[in-house]
Amino acid sequence: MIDFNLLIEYYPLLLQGVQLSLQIAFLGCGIGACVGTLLGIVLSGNNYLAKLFAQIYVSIIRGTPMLIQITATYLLLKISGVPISALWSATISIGLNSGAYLSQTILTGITSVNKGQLEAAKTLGFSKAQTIRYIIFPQAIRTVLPNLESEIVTLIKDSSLASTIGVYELSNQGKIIISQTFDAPTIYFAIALIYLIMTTTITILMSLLNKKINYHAKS
Amino acid sequence: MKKILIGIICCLFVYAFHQITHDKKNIPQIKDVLIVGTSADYPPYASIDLKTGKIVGFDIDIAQEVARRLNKKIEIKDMPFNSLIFDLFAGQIDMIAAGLTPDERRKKTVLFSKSYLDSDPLLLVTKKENPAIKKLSDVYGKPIAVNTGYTCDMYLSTIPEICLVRLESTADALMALQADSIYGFACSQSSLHLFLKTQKKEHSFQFFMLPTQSDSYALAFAKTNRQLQAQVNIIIDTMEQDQTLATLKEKWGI
Amino acid sequence: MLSLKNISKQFHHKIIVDNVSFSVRPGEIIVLLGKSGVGKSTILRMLTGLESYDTGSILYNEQPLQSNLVGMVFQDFNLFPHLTVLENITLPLQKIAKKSISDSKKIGIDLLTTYELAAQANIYPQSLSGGQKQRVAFARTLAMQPTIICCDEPTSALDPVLTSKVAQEINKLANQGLIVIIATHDTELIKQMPCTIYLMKHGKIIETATSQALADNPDMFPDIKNFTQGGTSDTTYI
Repeated sequence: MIDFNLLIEYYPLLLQGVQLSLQIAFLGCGIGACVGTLLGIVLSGNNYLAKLFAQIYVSIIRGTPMLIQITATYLLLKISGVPISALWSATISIGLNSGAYLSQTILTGITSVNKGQLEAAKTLGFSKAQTIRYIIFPQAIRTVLPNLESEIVTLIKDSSLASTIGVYELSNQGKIIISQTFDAPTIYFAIALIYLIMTTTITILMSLLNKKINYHAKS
Repeated sequence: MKKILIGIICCLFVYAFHQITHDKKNIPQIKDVLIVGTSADYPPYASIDLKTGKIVGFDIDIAQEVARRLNKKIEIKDMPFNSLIFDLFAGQIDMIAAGLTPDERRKKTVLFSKSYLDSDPLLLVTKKENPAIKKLSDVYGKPIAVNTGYTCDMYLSTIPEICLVRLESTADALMALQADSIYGFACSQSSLHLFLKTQKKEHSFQFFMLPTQSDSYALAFAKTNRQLQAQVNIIIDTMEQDQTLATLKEKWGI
Repeated sequence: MLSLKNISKQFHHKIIVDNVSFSVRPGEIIVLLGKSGVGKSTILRMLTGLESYDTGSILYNEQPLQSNLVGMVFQDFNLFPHLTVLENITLPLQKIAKKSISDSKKIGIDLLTTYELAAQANIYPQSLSGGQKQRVAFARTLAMQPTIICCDEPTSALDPVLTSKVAQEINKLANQGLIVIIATHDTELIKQMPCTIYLMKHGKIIETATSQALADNPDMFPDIKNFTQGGTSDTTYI
């Protein structure tokens, strides 16, 4: 049923797809972390107008399918004539999507820091920015990090949605190979296996990272 | 001070964005590169060579010939099929070479060249062990696959008695046929070419020619680009006369 | 000289601070005495800039009080849990007072040594006892060299022995010329410090006494006497 010769012949192409999938996932997560942090800070603050915008943004992103977001972003960029490649369009919309979800975790991380500490920081003379950087961020990161890890795993899987706008990530590469070799079982088996390897590797790496960080932390 | 700086940077970004988005105009400009859009998922017209990763195909060869005869360099842009007409309209590509059939609906939005290939018969493929098909009504009520948006889709959609199953690619349909999840697959003869060339199973299929006109293929241009259409038409005529077309057809087994 | 004049604050029709005025000279200890909720913590928070006030003025040497002159030791200590004891002290020194790493470490170790906590320098605050946390909180605030130090219920988590130590510490600070303002309901603490007592109720100062005068003639200050002896009858109060 599974033609291993076929796999040996075409695995370089699949690896090219893996590279793109990972690139989308990691860069998307990076964008998501930045956007999410910005949103988290806004949502935890006092500026009513900014908070409103942030909440609307998060609602829209969380209330629409990622597939639609990817295609809509691509079309919008094309209509405006912005010369952006499908790969970057997909990375950006996945990043913006991720940011909306991560903002909730980051908000929790920020608000989990005891208010008394913020007051102590203020009386010692820390500015708002310094308080975020030296007091809130190091503590929030411990809550946020596990979520970032699962977000990367999610994005590795979601990167397959980029195929709809023509990005040759892993699943799309598989589709091309199938369309010319007519052997779906072999290729789908290989792709599923590769996704599994990617996600499992990331999970293991992240738990090692977690252990290292918590080693230095208090109980 | 910091805030003023941020404000200035934001203004610069807005300005740059405005410039980029308003730069592209729909008027075709004379330049020395012919930007060709294709959808590399339709062998033998346009597909990705698995060995080299390059985009190859009958249509690609034609596009390259056209560019050469126009004394222009060629740039091939691969994208999902649905984006092609959009990009043409937005002026991001000059020409579409993607096994496009000129039908009335598309003629409303784009200009077509003369067809460089016609008389590509439309076939209905069924398994040999099933009864031979004498007329189209023999398959009424049975699931027949077509590729979404292709000529057979357009044709068979007009016949309500046919149970249409739309699948994305030729490969999907042929695999479904082999797995017996569909009874037949309607497509153009050329799209079966790769399958028949590489798989040993063609003897287990039978073919029925659909009672409709054969498929034809042409290049497409933006509606405002009559100049390019005229130039390319002349080139296609020349290619017909000097046998270039015939050579390419033979090369791709069409 | 620190002076508060006619400080009032209202929140949703509830009067929190009602026309409070007093002055403090360097080296003086002020005690804001009263039950929970009378507004003593609020006044401390106003001095440190954590809370605003509706009317009145807070002046230091005739100028509006700048918050960087005031330090606060919180009832819950509010130590930074992700930093070691030493880092709790050195971080503000480095980032706010812009001291070099070596300078800030020296200041930190010196302070910790004074408070007999040098051995705990690289431990995280969670492992400390209440009394130790108290001293770290003091050290952290003092490292920034405030002119005025506010203490909110400094002895609520401490036993009598440690309470005495706190009293000693505060006396030392006053002798160094700091202004110390304490909000407390701990009468044992007050007995061990020469201070001026302001008894508060419903946001107002209702009685004033120096600790000396109170010790000599408690009957002259019936409300304070009543409070310190645990009197519960409200009718004594106006």
